[in-house]
Amino acid sequence: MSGARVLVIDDEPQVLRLLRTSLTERGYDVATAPTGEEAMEAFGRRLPDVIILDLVMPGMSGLDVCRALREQSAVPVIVLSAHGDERDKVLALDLGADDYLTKPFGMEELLARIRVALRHSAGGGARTEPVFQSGDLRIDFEARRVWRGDVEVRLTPTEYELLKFLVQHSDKALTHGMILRTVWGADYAGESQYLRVYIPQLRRKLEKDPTRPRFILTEPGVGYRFQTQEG
Amino acid sequence: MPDRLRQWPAGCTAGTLALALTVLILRPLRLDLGLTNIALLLLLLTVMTAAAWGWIAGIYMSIASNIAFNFFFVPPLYRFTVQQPDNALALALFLLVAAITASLLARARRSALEAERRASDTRTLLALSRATRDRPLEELPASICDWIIRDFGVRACALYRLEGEELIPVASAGESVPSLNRGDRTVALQAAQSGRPTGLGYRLSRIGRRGADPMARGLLYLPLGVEGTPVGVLRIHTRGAPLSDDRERLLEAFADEAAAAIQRGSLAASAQTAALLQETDRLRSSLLSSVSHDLRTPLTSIKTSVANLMSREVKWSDTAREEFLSAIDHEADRLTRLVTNLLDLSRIEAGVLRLDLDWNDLDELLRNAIYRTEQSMPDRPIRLELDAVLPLLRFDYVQVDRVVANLLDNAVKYSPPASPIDVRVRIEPERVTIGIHDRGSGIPARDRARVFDAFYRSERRDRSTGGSGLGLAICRGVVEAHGGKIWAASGDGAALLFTLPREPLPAALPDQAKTDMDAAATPEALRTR
Repeated sequence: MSGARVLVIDDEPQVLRLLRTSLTERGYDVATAPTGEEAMEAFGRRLPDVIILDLVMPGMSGLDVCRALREQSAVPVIVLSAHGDERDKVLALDLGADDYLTKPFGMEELLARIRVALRHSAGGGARTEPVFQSGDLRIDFEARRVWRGDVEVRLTPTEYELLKFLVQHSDKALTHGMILRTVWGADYAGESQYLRVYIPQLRRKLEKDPTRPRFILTEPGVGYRFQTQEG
Repeated sequence: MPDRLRQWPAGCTAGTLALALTVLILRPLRLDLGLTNIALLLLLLTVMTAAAWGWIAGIYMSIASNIAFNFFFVPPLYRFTVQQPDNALALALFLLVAAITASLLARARRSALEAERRASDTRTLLALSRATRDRPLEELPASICDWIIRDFGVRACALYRLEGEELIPVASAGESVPSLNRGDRTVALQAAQSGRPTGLGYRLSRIGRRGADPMARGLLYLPLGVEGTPVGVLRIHTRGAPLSDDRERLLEAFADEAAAAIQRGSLAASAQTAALLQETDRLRSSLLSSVSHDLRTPLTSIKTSVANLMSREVKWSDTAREEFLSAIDHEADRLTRLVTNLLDLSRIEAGVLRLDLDWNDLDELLRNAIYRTEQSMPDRPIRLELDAVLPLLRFDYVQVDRVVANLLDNAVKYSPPASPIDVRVRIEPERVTIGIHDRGSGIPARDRARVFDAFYRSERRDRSTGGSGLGLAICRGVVEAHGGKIWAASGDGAALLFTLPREPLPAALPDQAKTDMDAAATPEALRTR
């Protein structure tokens, strides 16, 4: 993993300095850009493996950068945003950002997100292995069957599709809109009440303690995240 | 008495009939009664006619009675003998008596009517002044307008407040359109500023012309002023005919009351503004002192710890270094919380808090918040009391999560260590009430209304408990933005409760979800899908 190229885009020199030092120390090859315009230029020059992008910047905003990046590349993008900007987070994720972090964040959190992002890009986006295993949960995508330990879990077709989508994008924040569009169809993108019924249903079948989910985590105001490593 | 005069044809007819009847009855008794008595009887008839139908009928009757007397009673019978001087005198006397009677009676009637009207005006004025005293100020302009419509029989009435060169509608009755067109506005402003009642075409019908536009006729603008300063205009739309002078004078009394009401209203408003400014000022200075203290404290700790770590003079032990670092970490978190709270509060106070309303699972939110509090406070048992399955509600998950977290925090802070905290949820058709109950000393009754004010801390909340007094103010802002209520109560300890309104779920969902979930999906069924 070391040597992976990281591009950090933030208008705050202090943040850039700190992230450069912290990430370089951990073996990443770090480049920084203080504006969206310079970021696009640096991107073309260095072709980074992962991008850390501040959403609030003067000039070209983080959302603009995100849109521009997605027009030419599938490079993983982790956006940084302030508290209370859930709308912007959702917008960024819907524009194709891979993950988000709320400022102020801990270094450990950022490193974990970078690792997940790099793993995803290495695996070519969505997971495609025929069998998925995490903890006592096992999913056979070819047979469309799900087990908890030795016990087979019976899922309705909708529950299965929902679980499949979550698992294929595991460890990533998925917005309500993304899940609804994929599992229920484009017309359902705003009907988040479906998720409020199906997600608890799925948790009751998959989680040891549905009120303290280990797999299907709620991302408040944003969506859900399927967690593979118990954190 | 113009009305009564108009009835003279009826008076003459009735008088003629009565005269014919009297002549018919008296003629056989002519010799028994004597001429004098007959003359007096006919005079009585004349006087009664004059009294009943006015002077025209009276004069007609005096002539008719005289002719009848002359013709039927005075010898030579059935012949006119006017040339005799005593007959001419009798006619003159008859005429004189009729005229005097009619005019005396008319005057008496007029003064009786006048007295009646004065009494009625006095009663109206008395009732008006009583009403202006008793009725709440904000209802007064409207009730004055209603009153004018009822009492003066006008078509419409509207009250405007003068603000600079603008006339702002305050109240109206009758026709609903109190907005003024340009012509109206000019006349109204002129009335207000000159202090003289003005009417565009108001008196036209009195001088007998017809205005081209029926709506423009009968409009009267009465200036409203207090001690010579114009404060507004009263716009009266009559039913065509102008009001009598007396009625106009009475109307001016109403106008005076309306002026006083407007004046008092604007005084009350400016007093309120002043109080608000004072409150804002108080809040601002308390905010400044509170925030500067709350910001400085963690900054001081951080700065000191960092200075220690950077110092080359002292070789710190690992334990000491750990301590400095954890102080920095802890204080940075505290700053983050404070800044977040300040930002949220300023968003709420500026009215720019944007809710991300969506269907959400309150059950999950509560369990999550309780779990997080239990993680940080392992010695505090928190019980969730829920008597039925919570319905989905429409709310902003992130914001309501902060409300619950803040209330739990509050309960932890103000109750003894290790005492339990109860979260009770009541589900009603219109709303869901969430109550957080602690076993602390409770909130004194006089503080209950104010604990949700920014920077307000009751005596039990001293600095040692931390917190900047922002949390509950944010809670109130968020809950009210959702259309809910938040309040403090007392039970075993303090209880802070809030409501979230319930809305009907989009209809399609429950059935579809149910059928999908109830279908016992076998692996085979899944595979064949």
